[in-house]
Order: sequence, then C-alpha cells, then structure tokens
Amino acid sequence: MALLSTESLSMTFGGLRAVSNLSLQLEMNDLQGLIGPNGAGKTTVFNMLSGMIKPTTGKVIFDGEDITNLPAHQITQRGMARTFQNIRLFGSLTVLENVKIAFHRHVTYSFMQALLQLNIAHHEENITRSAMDLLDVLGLADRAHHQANNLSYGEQRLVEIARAMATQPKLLLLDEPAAGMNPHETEQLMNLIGKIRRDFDLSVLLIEHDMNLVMGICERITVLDYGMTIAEGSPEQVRANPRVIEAYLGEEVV
Amino acid sequence: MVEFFQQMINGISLGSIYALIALGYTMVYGIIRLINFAHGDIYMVGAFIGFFATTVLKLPFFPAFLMAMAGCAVLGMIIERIAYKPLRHAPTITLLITAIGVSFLLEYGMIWAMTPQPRAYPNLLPTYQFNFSGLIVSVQQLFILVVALVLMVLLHVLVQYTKAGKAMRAVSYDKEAAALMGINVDSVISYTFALGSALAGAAGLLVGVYYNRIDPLMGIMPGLKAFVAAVLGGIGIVPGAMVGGLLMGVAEALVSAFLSSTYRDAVAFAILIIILLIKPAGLLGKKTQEKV
Repeated sequence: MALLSTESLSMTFGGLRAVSNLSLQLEMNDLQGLIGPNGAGKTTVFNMLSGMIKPTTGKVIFDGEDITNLPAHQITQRGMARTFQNIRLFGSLTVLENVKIAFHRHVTYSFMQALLQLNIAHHEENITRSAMDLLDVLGLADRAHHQANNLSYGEQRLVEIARAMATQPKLLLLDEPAAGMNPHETEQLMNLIGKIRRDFDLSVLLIEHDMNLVMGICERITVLDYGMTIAEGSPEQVRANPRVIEAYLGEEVV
Repeated sequence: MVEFFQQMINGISLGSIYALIALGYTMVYGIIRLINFAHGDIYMVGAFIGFFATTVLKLPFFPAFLMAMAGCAVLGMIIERIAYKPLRHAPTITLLITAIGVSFLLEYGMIWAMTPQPRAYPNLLPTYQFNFSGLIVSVQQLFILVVALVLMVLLHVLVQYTKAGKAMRAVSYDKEAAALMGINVDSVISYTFALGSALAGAAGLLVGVYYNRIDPLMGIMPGLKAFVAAVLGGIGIVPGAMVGGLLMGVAEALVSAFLSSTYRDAVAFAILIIILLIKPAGLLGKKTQEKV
C-alpha cells in the first residue's frame, strides 16, 4: 500500500488553477522528486499535503487514512514533516530549542502537568539528549547553543531538517533543501538525505531546482508545469521526455 | 527622604499589580498580536469572584484567591473561544474592535447583574502596619508584593523552562511552522489566555483587598495603565511587562505625592506619549520591522 497518495488534488486561488488533478503515489521508503519551473505549483502541493491550506477538490491519503481535512498539527502527529523553501526557524531561539520544540509530539502532557511540571527535569533531559543526537547526525552539534538566526544559510536549512526529523516522521517533505547552498554543501546534503532515509527508515518527497541533486538521488520524479503533471518516472525517463525538455530543462541542459 | 522612600514602597506595591495585569496584555499580544482591551475587565471580574468567594461562600484568603484565578482563567478561555477564535484570519482591526465590544459586554453585563454600586471588600488580611523609623509598610503591601513576585517567578519558569512555554514561544514566533512541529496552536492560544487572565484575576482580588472597594467599572483605568506598562516595557516581552508595571506604579506614586494627585492618571498617558515618541519598541524591545 502506498504511504502517500493523492486523488485528483486541485487548488484554485481565485481564477488561478495553481494545481490541477494531481495524482501522486509514494511508496514506503521512496525518495521521490517533485520538479517544475517557477510557479508550477510545487510548494502549493506541499502546503496541501501538510495541511497548511485545504485543497479545493481532491483527497490526500496518508498511511491509509484520509487526512485532507485534518489541521496541520494533527497531520504532523501522524508522521508527516516538512521544511520550508524560505527558512522558517524560530529565529530568536537556539538551535537546540528549535529541535526540542519539535519533540512535543512525543510528550503528551495535560494542562495540569504542564502547570505543575511533574517530573520536568527527567523529561527535559530525555528530550535534550534526543535533540542533541539528531543535531549530531546532521553535523550541527557544535551549533546547538547558537541562536538560529546567526547560522549560515546552509546550516539553517540543516536545522530545519533536524527540526522536521524531531517530529519522527514517516514521510519527510523537503522544499528546496539545497537552495542557497554551494556545490560542496549540496553534495554533502545529498549524502545526508540518503543517510537519514536509510537510518531513520523514512520516505522523502523532495522539491528541488538543483538538477544534479534531483537526478542524483531520486528514484522517481514527477514534473509539474502550470499545475499539471506533465511527466512521471525514473530520472532517465524524465530526462528524455520531450515535454519536460520543452517546459523545464531547456535544450542546453540535455 | 523618608517621604520619598514611603512613596517608592507605595509605588512598588501598586506597580506590582499593574505588572500582573500587564503580563496578560503582553502575553496575548505576543501570541496573536491582539491588544485585548477586555483584559482590564477580566481583572474586574476577578475582584468580584473574590468578593463572592469571601462574602457568600465565606472562604478565607487563599481559597478565594485561587478561585478568582481559576474563574478568570476559564473566563479568558471562553472569551477567546467565542469572540476571538472565529476571527483568527480576520484583519487585526476587526479583532481590536471585538475586544472593545467584549470589554463593554463585561462592564455593563456586570452592572446589569450587580448594579453599579461600589461594594466594600471584606478585610481578608491583617491590617497591621510595620513602622521602620517613620517608614510605614502595611502587611497588605508586603503581601501584594510577595504574591505578585511569586506569580511572576512562576510565570517566568513556565514560559522559559517548560514544554508549554516553549510551545507558546514557538507559536508567537511563527504559528504555521509551530503547527507543523505538531503543536496544537489553538490550545496554546487558549492556554495563553487562561494564564494571562488568571494573573488578572489575582490582581483583581489583591486590589480589592488593598483599596477595600470594587465596582463594575474598576477595570477601565488599571486596564489602560497596565496596557501603557506593557508598551513601556516592550509589548510582547514578558520581563518588559514586569519592569513597565513597576515603573508605572512608582511614577504614579511619586507624581501624586510630589506634584499633585490630580496628575496621577495623566502621568500614565504622558509616559505612553513619551515612549511612543522616543522608543516605540519599549524599554526592553528591539526595533523590528513588521513583516509583510
């Protein structure tokens, strides 16, 4: 059974069809790419999947459950996490605090417990340790106590990934994770995405402009243009598809 | 000199009450960018709950105090749920006007229910006064100061060191990103209203005890002054509200002692005007640009 599937998902903003009739299929452990020219509707797809906006029509099925109309926090609690194209860290908090906040989903507390803070020290210790472990995996351990705003762009992107990972997702949505990174950082990121997928046993859906990154690590690619799916398949198939070349890649790339 | 210190003491105990109210303003502003003009009236309701707890139910100070706080917490949550939550995506001005409406509803609802007559508050605390070589400190003043301090420390711990507090800070920074971290934004907002309103309720009861007199419109002036205190310290900043509240109380006490008590209300608004001219972000505030 597919981990994530969408059924004729559409989003209309006024007269503009940002996404029309999208049907995505993502299996357990897939690493899939979603590409397309600027304005093709990629981020809108992410916004619909993660519950930030409600689709005009269509359905999102995640892990066998219709999550189309669930609020964003409940979708996160069911195991879908995302990062943002324009970084949205809690900038005035430290890197560690950013990650710890995301561990919320594993710690259920009642109003009274929060008020009285029963065994707060124990909880805090556990969360801090798990958060530090995650930062370690992403090579950010030495940045843990820096204010998130003060990190480099590339590092902030990694913190976003760490924060998303802290919700312990089954599916990770990455919105242009390599934007603003230099080729060296991009390469490290490719390795990292592969590594966390293996180590944490999760699926990844990736929006990316960096062709090397997408073609290098994705097993399947969906290409959007003006909100329509114009191609789907392996990197080789997509690369060879004339509609993709016309709409997106441009002749010089091929 | 004794007179000066005497006024400082009076000012600090008054100021700690302003600080308690200002905290509610600032927390609510921090989380949903709303100046909750009904906040002063929640404080008034707290005073009335305390009044009933002690006169009708014959409760002693602490149970009455807890009841005022709990009652106001529930009231704050109900107001948020009914009046503000449906307007979550409405323009700020809509929320602001709604808050003024809620304020009138509480004020005149209370007049309708209780008549506009002021009521004498029962004496819940000993009226003993300490005399330190001319410097007079009443037990009530000490009590207000201690209670306010304890509440502020508790709040600080809650906001800085608990998961709920972290969730509040995350929501105030970016609601959508917080939701995507699995934080239930609606319940965090509700929780914030409960906390802020509970502090206002505590302040209401303390003022009742201090001035021995309550009435349904008693929340207007302290509400406005606490708002000025929150702006003075930097709206949205929790320690700012504490500092602002204390400064306001001291300024008011000094002005009424050394200039004229006619100016005691005017000084609050003079401070507001000056702070808006000189440092609009408040004493502890950083200059920020509104994101578009």
